[in-house]
Amino acid sequence: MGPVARYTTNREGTLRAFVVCTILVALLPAAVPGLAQETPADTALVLPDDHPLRPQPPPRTDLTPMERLFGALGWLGTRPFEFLGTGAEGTAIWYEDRVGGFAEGLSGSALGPPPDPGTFSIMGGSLGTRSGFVGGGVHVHTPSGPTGARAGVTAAFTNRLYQEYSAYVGLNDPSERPYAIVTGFYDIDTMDRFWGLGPFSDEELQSSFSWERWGARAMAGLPEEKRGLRANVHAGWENSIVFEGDALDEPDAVDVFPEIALPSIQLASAGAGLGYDLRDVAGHPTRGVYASAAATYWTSADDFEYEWLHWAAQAQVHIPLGSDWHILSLKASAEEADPTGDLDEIPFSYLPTLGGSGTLRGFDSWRFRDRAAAHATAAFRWRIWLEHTQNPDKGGVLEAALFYDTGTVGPAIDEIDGDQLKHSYGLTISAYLLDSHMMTFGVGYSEEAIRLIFSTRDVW
Amino acid sequence: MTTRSALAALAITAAAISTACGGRPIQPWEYQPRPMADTLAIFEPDETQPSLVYEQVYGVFSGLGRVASVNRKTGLPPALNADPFDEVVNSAWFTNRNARDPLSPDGILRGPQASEGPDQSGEVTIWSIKAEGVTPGFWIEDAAGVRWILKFDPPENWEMGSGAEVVATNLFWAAGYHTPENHVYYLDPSRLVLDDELDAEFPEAEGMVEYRVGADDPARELTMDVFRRHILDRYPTSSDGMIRAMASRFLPGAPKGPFDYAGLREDDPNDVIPHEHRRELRGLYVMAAWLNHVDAKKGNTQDMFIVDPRSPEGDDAPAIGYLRHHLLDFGSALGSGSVHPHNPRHGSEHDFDASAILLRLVTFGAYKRPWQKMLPYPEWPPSIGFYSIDGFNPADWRSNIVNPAFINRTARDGYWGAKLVMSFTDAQLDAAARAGRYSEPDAAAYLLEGLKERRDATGRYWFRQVSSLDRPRVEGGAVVFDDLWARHFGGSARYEYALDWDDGGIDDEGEVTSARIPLPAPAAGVPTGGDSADDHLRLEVRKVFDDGGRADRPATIWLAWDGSAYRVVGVRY
Repeated sequence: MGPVARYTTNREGTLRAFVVCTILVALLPAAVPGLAQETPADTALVLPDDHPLRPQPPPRTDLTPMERLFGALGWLGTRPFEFLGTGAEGTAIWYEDRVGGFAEGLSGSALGPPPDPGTFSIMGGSLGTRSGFVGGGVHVHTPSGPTGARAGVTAAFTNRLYQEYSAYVGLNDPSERPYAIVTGFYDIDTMDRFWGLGPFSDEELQSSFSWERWGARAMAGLPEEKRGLRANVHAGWENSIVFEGDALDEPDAVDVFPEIALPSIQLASAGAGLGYDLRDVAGHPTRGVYASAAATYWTSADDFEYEWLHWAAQAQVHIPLGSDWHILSLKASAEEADPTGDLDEIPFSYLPTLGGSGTLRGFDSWRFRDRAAAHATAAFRWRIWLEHTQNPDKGGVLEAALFYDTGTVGPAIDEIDGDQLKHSYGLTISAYLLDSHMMTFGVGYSEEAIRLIFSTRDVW
Repeated sequence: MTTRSALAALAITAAAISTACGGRPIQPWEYQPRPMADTLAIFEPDETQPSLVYEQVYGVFSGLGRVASVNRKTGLPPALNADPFDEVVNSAWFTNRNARDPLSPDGILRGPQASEGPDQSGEVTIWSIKAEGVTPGFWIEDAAGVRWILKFDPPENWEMGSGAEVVATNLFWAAGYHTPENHVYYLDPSRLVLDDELDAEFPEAEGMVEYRVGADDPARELTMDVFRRHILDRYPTSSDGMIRAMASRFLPGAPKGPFDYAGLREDDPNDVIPHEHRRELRGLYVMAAWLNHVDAKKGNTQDMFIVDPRSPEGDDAPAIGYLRHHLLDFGSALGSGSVHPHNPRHGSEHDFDASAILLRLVTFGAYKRPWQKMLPYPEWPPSIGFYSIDGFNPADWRSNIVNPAFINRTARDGYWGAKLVMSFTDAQLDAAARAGRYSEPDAAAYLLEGLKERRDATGRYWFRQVSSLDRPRVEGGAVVFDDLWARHFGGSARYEYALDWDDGGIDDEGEVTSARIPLPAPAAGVPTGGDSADDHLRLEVRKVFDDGGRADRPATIWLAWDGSAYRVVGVRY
């Protein structure tokens, strides 16, 4: 029996962790004083709406200098931060966030509808990531404002043959209105990595593999950038293949771990997510709490008999330390993939992982993998720059953060062992445009490495 | 170390020393006035276009460079166009005005205005419309055939932009800078007509829609009704139907693009002083700080080609003339940000301030710029915006983007600029504020208070950086001078001095309690004339303040002996 099948089902643990997280979500706002969002003092001398001197403003007068700059570069209204990156940080992130079934999907943010129908943008490649040192792509879509039908295509690739393609049709802007999206996708990451399962997987067994997927997903939900309740439901079908990796300097994972090789398998999935957001700003919150939980049921759509439930939950709290310029942020998350059928196996590539630019940032991406993962982050964040706009809520921000990450993986959520926690520390600098995270770079330290951090996904 | 590497190290060291020591300052007696008067005839250059993105990026890297600059630690090079008395001569960049020959308050009130504004005794023709963006405006040709640009105030801050533009224009002009003729102007809409070939795009629900005079499609015909609906109806009218605007007269000459605050304009043979080392542009920092002209950047300058009357006639004949360099667009000066009022952040931090960012990073956010300490912001009059002594540091004021001339300023440049600022009397500032034609007396008083308090703060800072002993001259066998600190801020006269002339047999030092330092005659037989330091008497005078402090730098006065008397040949602060 290979590592993908050596654990038994633990439904009691799953249920218990889900209940604990739900209670945490409910209690956090009441438990932490000062988290209720405060309305900033309105010090500007603003005429009332019905004042005779108030003009009808011309369109888009509230553009910040950074928006103008990005507008001049043709990025405005798309996602200027759609850089290629490791793993899911590529073009399809916007859609994968919404269909992946992970709690993070609920916190995905977008810049909103582009001002003009028909937008074409060219994406830059990320530097120094495993997925490729240079790359590019296009993103073409036809938005029509907050409501109405929309469609788009994306394509991206790097010199390491990392590729993502997607096409979608949808109704309404998910950031602002109840929405529905159907996405077809094809992804291939030739540089994924595997060390084996469990918290003590051997650092020396680092190996690479390729993971190719294509399929379609449908999703509907409540607006994702409004404070308060968020929810979505989703269903999909996909074909998945694992084979040799392209890294020349490390062995193929299928050679080191022959049992993980997968022929083409077909999976169907369905799930739902629920979240409640009381943060003041989703992208760079200064106060408030956010909690979410999501579950996705996966089952084989072919002759294999895979069947499992994946759930994830997280809670985060942000506490201003005297002002918006100094913030203490805490986050805890847990997830588990739990077989529910007769076959006590889960394809290893669908198991939770830790490590990389989002969790345990001092470790390599996907460093730890197992059926369950728990992770916590504490960060002292301080602003080092605030874009100068009339409306401070609309400005960009540069923010530094000292962080401490801890977490580990295990065969089940209730078998997570505190003695096996991994730790990492580091410093990051993040850039935010409007409410959206653009990119984070920094350095993380762990017992295994000093790792440069570059990410287009925010940890919050 | 091998011989080759040793030689390489030696060469690098020599190059570094050479670089560091290059550009020896011109001594007062070495002054050559010819390059300073830069109005010699040149062929007409092409018009250049500003690159605002480049300027922004340049500004960011200039800011980073400032943090890392060795020069700023070891001493910046002096301005290259200072005359023997540490002043500047009149040129295509600057004309000495108020600090040399004080203007009357009426002269300040009028500023550069050579007319009463656009003539609307007859038809006023609109010949270009700028409807996009946040500051719509249009260009007119008045009844006398003179062309003007009209800009309007944001309705929420009525009178703010137009008032600030005219007040600041008059003060920059009175200080000596070349500016356009700007007026607070009350437009009579009934006089407006549309040019026959006028077209314009207006923002409408479906996007930008083009209208044209005489269009075939009646729905797209540009008429006065369309113009009124999209432009004029935005603004309030006075009881007699007039609309307040800022009218800026087209500059004389042919536009040739903006000037850089660094480097040279290669197609202008008159341009021989790198702009970042021009005294007028370095010293502009002090004026800009006083008037909170945060938008002092390349994009708000303009070179105009002034055609020489001797220029050959004929279309094919190349015109000759010279470039005159102007400052433009003071709508973001004082408390006005053109479309929004200034708040305390303006002037307190660059838009993207590399040094502030770095300091906040390494201090975990403990480092704060002045504006951060003023939160929540105080209130300010809507027609003025924030313009106050609060949070103002005349030595650490910052424009929106890094200005390369500003960051090269030295104490001497600052002192020169402060003399311009301090030349404005209360009565003159009152006249300047009146030029804004503010309807709210309290608003005008708020502006006037800001002007006076920031002026005095400017003088108090810069007049301590050097010994502010102006106009040194020889009278009755002694050097006398005007103590600018004492003139503006009072206090006793007390100075330390040192006299030094080896060849003249003079070596003396002491302290005096009046602005008069007796000069001993040199030893008999001292040759007259000469062009080296050994041929001059060197007098260093340092101001001693009532609090016991001393000016950071002495005034160094050089005197020549003509056989019977001394004469001042130069001064360096």
